[in-house]
Amino acid sequence: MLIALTTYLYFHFSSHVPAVTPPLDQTAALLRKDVVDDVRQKQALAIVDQMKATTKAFATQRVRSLDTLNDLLAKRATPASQIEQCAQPLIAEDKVAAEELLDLRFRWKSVLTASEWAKVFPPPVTEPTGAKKSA
Amino acid sequence: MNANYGATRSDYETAINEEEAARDAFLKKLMALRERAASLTTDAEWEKLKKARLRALDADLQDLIS
Repeated sequence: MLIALTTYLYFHFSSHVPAVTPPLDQTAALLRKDVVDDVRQKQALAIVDQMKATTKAFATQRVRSLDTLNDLLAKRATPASQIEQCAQPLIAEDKVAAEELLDLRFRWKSVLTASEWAKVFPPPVTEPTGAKKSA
Repeated sequence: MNANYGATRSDYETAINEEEAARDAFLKKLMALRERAASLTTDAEWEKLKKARLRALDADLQDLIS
């Protein structure tokens, strides 16, 4: 359980990439629907493609790095310092990818108007506190 | 923050730094627990835990790739 948790933690908790990546297919569909200006729509969709390429490259690298980490976690005698050292590239590659995605996020801002932004990136729906779910 | 047209790079950096601090603190605790678990088990017992770890990893990798 503890080992699985460690892997899980490095896998998810240590990554900023999901937090700065909107659902890209949904975003592309909303850009096609809500950005009527052809030139700006194409620019915005090109950013989606770049984001997809960045997240794909990140995922591929992540799988390789996790293999190495997993080999270390498998050995009972591996000291924490070695695990932490091995995790550093995971953290670094996540930072690089998150930075790239943030750059792209701010390129969207230069392409879209505020009203288009509100349609393409609606705030997450949250249930009011104390709301009862219907059966 | 992604929905906020006015969010700045600085807003993101602040949120990321806060997450990193929380992650680092949690990982330190987890590493200490792992060392404790390792000291309380034999190699054979540790090996038996491998299945659970690989199951979790495989599920995560599938999730990442899809």
